[in-house]
Amino acid sequence: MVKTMIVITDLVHQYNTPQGEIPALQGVSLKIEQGDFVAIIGHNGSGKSTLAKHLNALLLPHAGQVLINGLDTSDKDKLWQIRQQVGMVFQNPDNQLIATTVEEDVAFGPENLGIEPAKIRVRVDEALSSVGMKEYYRRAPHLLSGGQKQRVAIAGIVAMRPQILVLDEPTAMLDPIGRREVMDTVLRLNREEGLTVVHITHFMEEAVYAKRVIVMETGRIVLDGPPREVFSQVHALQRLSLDVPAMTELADELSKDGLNVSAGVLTVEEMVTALCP
Amino acid sequence: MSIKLTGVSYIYQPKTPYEYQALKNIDLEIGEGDFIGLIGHTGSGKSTLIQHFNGLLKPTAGEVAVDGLNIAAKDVKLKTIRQKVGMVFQYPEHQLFEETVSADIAFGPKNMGVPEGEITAKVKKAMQMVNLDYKKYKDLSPFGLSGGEKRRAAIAGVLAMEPKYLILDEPTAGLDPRGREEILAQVEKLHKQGITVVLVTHSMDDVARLVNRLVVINHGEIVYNDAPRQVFSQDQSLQQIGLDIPTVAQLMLRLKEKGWPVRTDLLTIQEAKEEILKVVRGVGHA
Repeated sequence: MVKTMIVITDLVHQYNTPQGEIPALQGVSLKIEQGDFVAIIGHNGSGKSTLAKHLNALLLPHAGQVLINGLDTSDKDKLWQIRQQVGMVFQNPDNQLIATTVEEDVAFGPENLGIEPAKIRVRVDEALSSVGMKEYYRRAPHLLSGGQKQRVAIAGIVAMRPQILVLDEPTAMLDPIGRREVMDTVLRLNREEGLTVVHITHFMEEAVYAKRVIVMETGRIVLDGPPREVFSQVHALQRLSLDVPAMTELADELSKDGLNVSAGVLTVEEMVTALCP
Repeated sequence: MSIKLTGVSYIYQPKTPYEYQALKNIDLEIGEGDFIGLIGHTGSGKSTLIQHFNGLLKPTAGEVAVDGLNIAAKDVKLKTIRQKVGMVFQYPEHQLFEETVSADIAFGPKNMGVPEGEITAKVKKAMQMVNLDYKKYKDLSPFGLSGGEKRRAAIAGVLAMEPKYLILDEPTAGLDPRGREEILAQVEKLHKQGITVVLVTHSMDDVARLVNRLVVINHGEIVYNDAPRQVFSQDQSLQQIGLDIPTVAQLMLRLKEKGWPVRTDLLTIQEAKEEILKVVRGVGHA
């Protein structure tokens, strides 16, 4: 039986600003199962990042409940257990690397967990291999490319052996090659190591690879389903002024003109198959 | 009038063990009214190249002339060059520093020695150009604005100097789709108003849509300098240097491989749709 890793019930969160209270999450309910790969998309201010910060108790619910692997984030005694299970990667790679060599940086997490040195060595080597950065272990992090830095940041989390990896726009500051490197790494960790992944992004071409896509708007979940289902709602997405993958939009246009192309087409290859059966 | 580079090479840290040649013998002319897309992956020499446009870097060999003025000549004031060539760097909002939006935008013209009485008019005009309402925003702190608004305020700071040429280094990086759309629409409008624009970007779909000429740089050399349609219709060579082509261009190339009699120099969804319908309905086969 598949284990449910994350259970969110009627989650409410608001920010207090000089302009008054701003509601960031207005009753979000969500279940995420072990091994799932969930992409969350939506505009700035839609509540994506606020939601992500609830997953490892960086923020606590103002109403409602967040359970991580059965642990309530509002329970202060469970804080470290929760943080150990949920690793987070943020947008700017330069803000997350702290040590002078790659291996020290990756060792920082497990050291903090009080793991014995011999075991740390094993974990660091495994974590660096899993993100394809093993040969860089002696390098200085600040001399790496953006994509490499983000992979080291991910390795630092993998070394803590979490169950859930939460990525908040990890590719926003990277070039196309860096973006691909990070996406390939995250997909592999999900497929091969069974990590549960929550991936927040503005790039629809990344969301296409998720098993499930959640669209947020003004603090609520407005669409939720497999990418094929969510992206086929071209008009709903355009109303939210979100991008639709180019091939999905073309499929929609072609079917308007009577061509028999399924609305679930996401990639160039799928479009080629649809047109040349 | 133009920005003209002739035989430009640039070497970082020459005559040291770290010597690195970032630009190799570049010939490039950016004419008045051009809208140029500059693409190339990280480390290709893009940023080094644009820093030559306003004299932030001076060529190790060759010559850069802005409206006929050689940027390395002793009698040419860099102030004059920098007034003509406005440069918006990556994440320009990191350079906002004043207490109010209007003070921040006024900083450039003040520094250029514009008389006090004329500054407000320039600030107003610049804010209008980026669609920030003067009354609403002038007294706000730039730090309280949204990501897209901050970036527009930072761009207004450059526009207030009334440059003839505007160089934008990845102006949409890190913005959400709505913010990206806003900035690109502004840039397009600025170009229509007569400003010459150079847009450095990673987004092939954006350049395909907007620019009239595409300059592709790789290992410090210009490998393409042509209309986007021409550049993107040659799939393999771009992919060999690690660059994508727009999704629509990819599709047309794949269909052609499958034996469809389609054009490969198409860029928009609308164009692709018409071409596909033409083939499916058998028009053009006769």
